[in-house]
This record gives sequence, structure tokens and C-alpha cells, in this order.
Amino acid sequence: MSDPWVWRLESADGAPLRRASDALDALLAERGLSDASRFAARMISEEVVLNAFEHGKARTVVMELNPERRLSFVDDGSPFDPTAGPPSLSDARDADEVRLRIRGLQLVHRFALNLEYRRQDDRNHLTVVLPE
Amino acid sequence: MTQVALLEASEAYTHVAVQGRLDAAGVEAVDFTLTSQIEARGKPTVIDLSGVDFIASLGIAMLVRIARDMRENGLRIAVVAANQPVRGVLEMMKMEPLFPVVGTRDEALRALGVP
Repeated sequence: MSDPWVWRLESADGAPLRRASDALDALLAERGLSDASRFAARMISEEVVLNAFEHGKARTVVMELNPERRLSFVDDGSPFDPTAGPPSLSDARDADEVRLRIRGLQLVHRFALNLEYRRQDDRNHLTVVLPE
Repeated sequence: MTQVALLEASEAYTHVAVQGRLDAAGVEAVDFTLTSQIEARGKPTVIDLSGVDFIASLGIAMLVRIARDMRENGLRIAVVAANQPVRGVLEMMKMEPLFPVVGTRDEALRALGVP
């Protein structure tokens, strides 16, 4: 049986992502985190996971809630460091896709207190700290 | 579950309300219905998000696309966002040049110039 604080996602479909976000939200509520923190967690998980599937062409994204309000994401998509400034958008289909990706990244930066990124074992590893 | 309701369809304007979350699942659920209702009527439109408690980039992209399509036909939309976190996200993303974000239906009608 999998840990209740680890979610493995295998597509950009909205329904599984919402189930994972709902489960994450319930865990955060159980831990006594504020509404603002829970809103931030939902926003960050939505944007990071969709970005990995839609733009990074990941096959799998693993999201994990760690102690001290840390939320981590590991995906097997193309290398992408969201802490390194604007993304390379040369593979975007059109201007709307560019705007969508930039907007999503802006939201992650606005709602996360801190972002740490590393590329390891052909995977993107991103850890964010949620606000209190 | 995210849903759309047509609240008012007068000669002067259309008023639609969205309930639920505008995350990826919510946008998948309402995009076609919302867009069809608004564009088929071809009137200035109030999109009421008072019943929406979450909006992410896909939800914003849907609103932007509707606003642009309407503008091509010389029409405008106004968005009612009474929920503070949702309004905060729309303000953060600087949507005002594309559509006004207000707190009530009456403010939205004023912004659209509907008597």
C-alpha cells in the first residue's frame, strides 16, 4: 500500500490531479495549516504537475508532502529549472501556449515561499516551501 | 463538481455563473458550455465567479480566450470575483486590460456600460 502523502500521476488529465490535490488538501488541513497555505498548495501542485506533463512531456510525476510544509515533485520530463528565470519556449505550439506556461510559472513563484531545483538521474526534482 | 448556470439572458446582456473550482478538471467540465452560452448569445456578458473558490492558469486562459473572442466581435465581458483568493489571483495576473474584475453584478454591468 502506498504512503498517503505520496501521489504518483501518469497523465495531465484533470480528474486524477484533482483527486491528488483534494487528498493533499485534507492532509494539510489535518496538520493544521492555514487556508492560505492550502490554497497555495493546490495552486503549486496544479501548475507544477501540468507544466511537467504538458511542456516537459513527462510520463510520470511523483508529488510528496514532506515535514515542515515542504512539497516535492519528481518528474521524468525534459530538463526544466523553474528557478532559473524564463523558460525556453522554442518548442511552444503558439503564443497562447507561451502565455499559459509563463502564467503558470508566475503563480508558482507567487505562492511558494522558496523553490529548490536539481536535475538528478534524468529527472527534475523540485521542492517548494508552502507559506504558513 | 464544476458547473455553469445561465442566470439571465436579456436583450442587453448575458449573465452566467460558474460554481466550483477552475482547475484543470473544472475547465475540462465547463469550457465548452460556458463558451457556447456566451458566444451564441452575442451580448455583453457578466461571468460570475462568486461560487468559484479556486482558479489556476488554465481557468485564467479560458477567460482570456473568451474575452478575446468577444472583443473580435466588438463585445466585452466583466468578471465578478467575490471570493478574495480568486480575486487576488486575477489581480496578480493583471487581467484588467482584458476584462474588469469586480465584486458585484451591478459593478460588472456598470463596467460594461449596460444601463
